[in-house]
Amino acid sequence: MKQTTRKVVGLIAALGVVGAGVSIGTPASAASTLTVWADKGTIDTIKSRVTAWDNANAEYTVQLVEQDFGLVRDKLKTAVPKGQGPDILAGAAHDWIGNLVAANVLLPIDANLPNNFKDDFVPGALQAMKYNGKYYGVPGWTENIAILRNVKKAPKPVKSVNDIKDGELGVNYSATTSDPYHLYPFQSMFKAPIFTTDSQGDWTNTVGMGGTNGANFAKWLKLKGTKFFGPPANAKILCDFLNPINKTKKTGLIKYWVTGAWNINAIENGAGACKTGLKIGSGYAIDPFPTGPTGIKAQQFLGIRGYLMVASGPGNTTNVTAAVDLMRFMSSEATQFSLYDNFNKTPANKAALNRAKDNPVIAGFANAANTVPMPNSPAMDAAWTIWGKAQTRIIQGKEAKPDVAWATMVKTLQATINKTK
Amino acid sequence: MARTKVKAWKSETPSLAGILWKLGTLGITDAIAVTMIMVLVAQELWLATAVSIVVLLVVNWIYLRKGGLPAKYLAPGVLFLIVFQVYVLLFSGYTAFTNYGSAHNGDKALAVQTIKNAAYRTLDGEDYTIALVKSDSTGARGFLMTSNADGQVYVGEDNKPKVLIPEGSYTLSPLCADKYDEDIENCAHAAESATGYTTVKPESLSELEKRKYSSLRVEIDPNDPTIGIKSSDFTIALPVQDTLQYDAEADTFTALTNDDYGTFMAGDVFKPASDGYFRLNGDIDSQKLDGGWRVEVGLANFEKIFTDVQLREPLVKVITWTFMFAFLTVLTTFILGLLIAFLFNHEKLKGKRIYRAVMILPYAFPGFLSAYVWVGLLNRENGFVNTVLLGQTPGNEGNFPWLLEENPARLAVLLVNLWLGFPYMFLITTGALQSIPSELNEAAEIDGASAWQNFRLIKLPLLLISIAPLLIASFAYNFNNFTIIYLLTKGGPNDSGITDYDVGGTDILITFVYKIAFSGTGQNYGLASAFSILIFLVIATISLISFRRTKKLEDIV
Repeated sequence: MKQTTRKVVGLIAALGVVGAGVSIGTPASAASTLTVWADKGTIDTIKSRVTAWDNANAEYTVQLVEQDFGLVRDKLKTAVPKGQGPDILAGAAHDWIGNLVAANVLLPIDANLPNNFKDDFVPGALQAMKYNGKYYGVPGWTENIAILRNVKKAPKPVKSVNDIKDGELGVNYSATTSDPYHLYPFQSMFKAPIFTTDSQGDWTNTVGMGGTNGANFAKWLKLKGTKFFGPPANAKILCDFLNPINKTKKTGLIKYWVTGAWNINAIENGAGACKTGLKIGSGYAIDPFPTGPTGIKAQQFLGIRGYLMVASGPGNTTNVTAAVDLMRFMSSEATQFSLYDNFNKTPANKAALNRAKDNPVIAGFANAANTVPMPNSPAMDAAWTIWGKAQTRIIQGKEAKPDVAWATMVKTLQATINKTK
Repeated sequence: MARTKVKAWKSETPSLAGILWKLGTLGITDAIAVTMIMVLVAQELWLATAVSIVVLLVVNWIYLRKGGLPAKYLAPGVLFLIVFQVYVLLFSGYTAFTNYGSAHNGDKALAVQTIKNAAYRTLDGEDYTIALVKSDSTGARGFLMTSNADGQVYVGEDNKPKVLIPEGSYTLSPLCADKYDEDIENCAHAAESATGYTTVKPESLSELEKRKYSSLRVEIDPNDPTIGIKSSDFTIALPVQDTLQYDAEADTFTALTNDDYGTFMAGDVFKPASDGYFRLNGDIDSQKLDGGWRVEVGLANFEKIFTDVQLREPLVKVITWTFMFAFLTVLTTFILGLLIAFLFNHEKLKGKRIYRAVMILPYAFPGFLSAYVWVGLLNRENGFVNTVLLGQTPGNEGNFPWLLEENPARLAVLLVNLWLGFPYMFLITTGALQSIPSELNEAAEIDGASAWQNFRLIKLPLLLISIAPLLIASFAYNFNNFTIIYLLTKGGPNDSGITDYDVGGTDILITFVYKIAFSGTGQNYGLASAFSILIFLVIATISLISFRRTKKLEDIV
């Protein structure tokens, strides 16, 4: 028996040495790897440019790791405290920044951006990457919504929202929490901005959509109701927009569609049940939003998809030099023009955008843009659910007194924001 | 008798194959464990290392010693029980007393690091493209700085003002200063070397050297040590000002300057407050620095559950529906299962086996699959239920809103759960029915009992004895039936009035808790854990009372 024990000890020791070899080998090679997390769509978009950077920088290897767009933030918050986060989060929506900063997962890069770099972008794009005075990333491409018009059904752009008849408008909003993003242009027609702005034009944490203006918007929402905005989560908007009007079947009635560049592919090539697409110019046009019932010009949110610098957690060193270099490469004119050229992404880089303006779609959305950067604070995060709920309930006629419901929403939201201060 | 057998077996010499098998398995386990320990040591996780070593030793002791047979059987199971059940339970229990969540998701070191990372601001002024250099005469580290504004070249050493390098004493790089400027002919070029200095490549530096270069500060104003030209990435240098200073011993942040955003004034001292933030003077009601950490908050989460006005209305609604859902599910599935069991238990029925097999199918399919199929079947515009069974026009938005409005969605959830659940009830009641002796049946018939009396007074009470515990288990299971709710409606439709909480018409407690913990953006694991504890208490209480009741049933016989 004793001999057996000795053998066992020997065996354990031998296996231990093998194990040691394996574990010591791993951290050494990790030093020169840059890890980038991105959702599938973003990976498809940026892959070739990232590879180009990788090839030009022999001392680094870039690893693109696919993450679910909806879950990546949670994952980041779990990974970073353990020192397991990536170096860069790519394709991130800029309105995530405040929430991620509050969760200790982002690293400011102000000290890594030269002065002239800051002039490279369209207005608002780099500001969108700024939170509490610090830049946490660089812009990749921009997104804004516009009115897409079926030229055959409506030959001329619509000037006032009063001229849009019931059933002619297609707008995505869901039965659950509405979609304040798509409805914001209408809200802005009443001068009821989500938050107030300070003297520098930056968003504050004070809810700005209360008062008379907000009440007027709420009343208007109820007045228009589902007849105007359509039933929620209408999956048939695309077909109804593309197909000719059929009065007996009541299909194809939609003339105007509130949407962004992400639906252009479906419109031009058709999708699902409606296979015939439309061409820009002869088939559809991209228009600015009409003015409000009292003639006020509408505003949309400017959304930026960008590259965020991830903090590495204590005890670990991020490869800031290489990560910033890759980020600057991704925000350069050459890269952004390439992303436009191959994937129709509207460049945030000014020079690239100018080169891309021959494209009628890019030009159309740029021309339609009267944008404000979407707020990126945690206060904005707190707002989406309750704000959307109030809108949906009012549209669906579930609030007898829309102005009272709206005021309740504003009050509750402000209380929530103050609580987290 | 059995005892002597075990003893006899124990004293036998184990076979060679047995020993080899044991050694092989144990060896592989040990190898994995040792690898794990090495990784843990490399990551400096000492507690986990210690626990792993102890577990490794105990496991080896159990299997290498003579005797102690029961431990050899139980050890793996107990180990996994501890890891996957006990630890998880204790951790959730502990979390309920912390503020663990989105803004408090790490330890204090992480928060301190976050604040330090952002404890500077850039100042207006020239920025420079730089190269790292070392003075040939003094050996001092420095930046070779080319102004991006006017192309002048300077050398800057630590805590000294920059010194202009005259033209001719430096060489410009052939590449553009801005790496991504492709116009090499016309772009600005930065100096790459200067006489009297050796250029150092950042890649060739050790970690220590890198740290020394990144803390290098070229003086701008001799009277203000907080401002200087710094570089953190060795490609550009900017004038920056330190805004906060961390004192590791006192564990405080002191403001060196006024903040542009009004968060602090020069001289303010931020101390750790009890809510896991650095706050002005440590006062819980005052200004905080962004960057929170996880702290224990006592009963605050439970207090919130019972006192938060925003939470009250949705919570009452969710609790009511949870009880309704669990109770109605058990009731409907039991009744349907029982009826079918009686029907198929009839002696004269032919092809019983086939019928029974068919009846079990909904139970045999994975619930995930069925739930998704049902979502399609219940689609408002084009679903099978609306267009074929109810004969409504396909594509019409006025069709019955199965999953889109509160009461229809509740009905839908119950119906789908009936479909998924009745085969189980059918199975267990069939089994129980068959175990009732047929003499009882015959005796009742001879005594002149009607079929209904036979069922109500004889079969049902006998059935309930064996089935009541299963019904209670089913209630407890459905009380937490996350899958069906989440897959069918995700808790929606969301029509709970205007509140902060994302709560829908079919949300049961567990899906509501899930939303608090994980969905959206403001995760609150602490609050969610507190809820789970309350759910556990509710289920435990109900089960306890019910099991007591069933004991009384047994007394009938």
